[in-house]
Amino acid sequence: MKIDVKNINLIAQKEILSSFRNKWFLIYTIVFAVLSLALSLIGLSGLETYGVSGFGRTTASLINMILLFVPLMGLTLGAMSIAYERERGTLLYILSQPISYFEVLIGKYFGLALSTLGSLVLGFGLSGFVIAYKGGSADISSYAYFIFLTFLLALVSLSIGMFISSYFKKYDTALGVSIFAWLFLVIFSDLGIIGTSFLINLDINQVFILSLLNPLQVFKLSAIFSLRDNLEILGPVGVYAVRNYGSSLQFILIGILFSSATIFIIFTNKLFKSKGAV
Amino acid sequence: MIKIKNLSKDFGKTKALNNLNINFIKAEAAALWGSNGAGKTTLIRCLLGVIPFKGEILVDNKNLITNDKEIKKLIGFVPQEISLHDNLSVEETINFYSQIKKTNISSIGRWNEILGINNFKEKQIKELSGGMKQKIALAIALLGNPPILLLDEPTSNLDLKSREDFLHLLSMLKKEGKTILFSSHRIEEVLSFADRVLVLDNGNLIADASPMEIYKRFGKNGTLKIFINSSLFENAIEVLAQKGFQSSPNGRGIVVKVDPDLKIEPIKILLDQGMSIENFDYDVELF
Repeated sequence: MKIDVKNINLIAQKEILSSFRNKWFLIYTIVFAVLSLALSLIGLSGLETYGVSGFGRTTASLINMILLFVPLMGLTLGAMSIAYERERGTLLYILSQPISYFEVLIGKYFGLALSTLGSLVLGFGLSGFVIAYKGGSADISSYAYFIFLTFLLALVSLSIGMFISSYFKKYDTALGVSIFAWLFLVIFSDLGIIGTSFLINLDINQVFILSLLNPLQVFKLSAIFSLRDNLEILGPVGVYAVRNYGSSLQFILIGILFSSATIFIIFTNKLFKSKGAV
Repeated sequence: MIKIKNLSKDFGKTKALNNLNINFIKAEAAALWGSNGAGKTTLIRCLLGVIPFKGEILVDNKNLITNDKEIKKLIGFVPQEISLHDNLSVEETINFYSQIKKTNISSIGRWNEILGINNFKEKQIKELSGGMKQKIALAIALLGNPPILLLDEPTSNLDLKSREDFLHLLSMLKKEGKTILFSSHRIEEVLSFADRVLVLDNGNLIADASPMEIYKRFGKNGTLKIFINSSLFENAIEVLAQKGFQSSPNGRGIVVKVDPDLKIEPIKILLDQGMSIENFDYDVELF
């Protein structure tokens, strides 16, 4: 079937407009901006004493916040997107018009992605402005790279959220499952890897590959690797990754994040169509 | 114009539609009639291509599955529950759907004036009454002047006045030569508006005939719902019982079992007693 880019653009525009009128999206944006600002001010507190660059310190302190916050934002907003419209009947109404499931899905995804990017840029922008104003200067490129990585993490989270959303008829159920998925990715998957490696004696390569199945771990590896030349801070797995993959590690990690987002959207498209509009 | 071949739809173990074969010709007004769960809405959703199904649907000899967008341009749809985006204005909503249909509001011609859209185009969707939303849904359905209209219980959520207005609009569209397929459980609508009635029961097509034939065959066991103030329930039931009508309280009104030929009698009796009637509804049960 021929894809109509104008339809995708139209749905994306509506999604952006809806995002800025969605209280949850506004709450996420404000909380992210406040947290980013607070962490950058804390990061700057040792600037004069230690002489460390402001952007590098801020990036390091932001990683843990991003690991918790951005997946929560992406998963829940993604989970609300289709199930909410399905439950209210607006999805049925849109899909009864001359527009395909794929165009609706991709339009919604792009719209949400751009809204989320706007929200992230606002938070990072405020931090960047404060750092620059307070005199931190170096590592601007790695800060920009960090924003790019965060956006990739948001894309993966959104696509997983939309995958969940396309399956469920009820908005509450989709939201609940997305929060469970967030908990799983943030806490249980780490515990699972530790437990599995302990129980069945996994070798370091297997532990590394298992950790790559979690996009949050991939983001963490990539973000820390962009700040320093090694991953010793992450223990044996980090050392193993750098030793075996060297400078290509960063490309592999970005490739994994990008592929995860794409694969989930492909599966979401199939699931969305098979589940229908109601 | 529309050919349905061996159409079936299951929801788990429930057969919502069972091997339906139906043809609709151009410019006819066909009613889908049946009780709740009979399959009316499911059939309309299959015709819109918004749920997967087994079988084949052809519109102008083109397969719905393979010519999805092309066929949807030929169809205007008014759902039972008007679900528009609450956070958009009327104007934004109509522009949005105009762009999907690759047309503009001028394509509905005189209907813009008839429906009075300009009077409330600045309003947010969430501020509108059910009747206004229905008018917007009809305006959207008419964008691009499609030859087919699918209406799923279009009057079920309207008050008496809005319902009469809406049926009047539909009569005008019927005169314009639109092919209209609508579902309803109201016998009056079916009798006054349809050229043909298809009766569905548990997903099966059990009758396909003219409205009068359907009325003769199924027009028994009517239920008249009279909406009156709850303080009048007891008195109304007693007065009706004295005249030989059995009735009982039900939600916002009372329910009277009455044959179609006599359906006006209980209303007359209550009015003669000086009781104020807020609304009424008449249903004919199947079998």
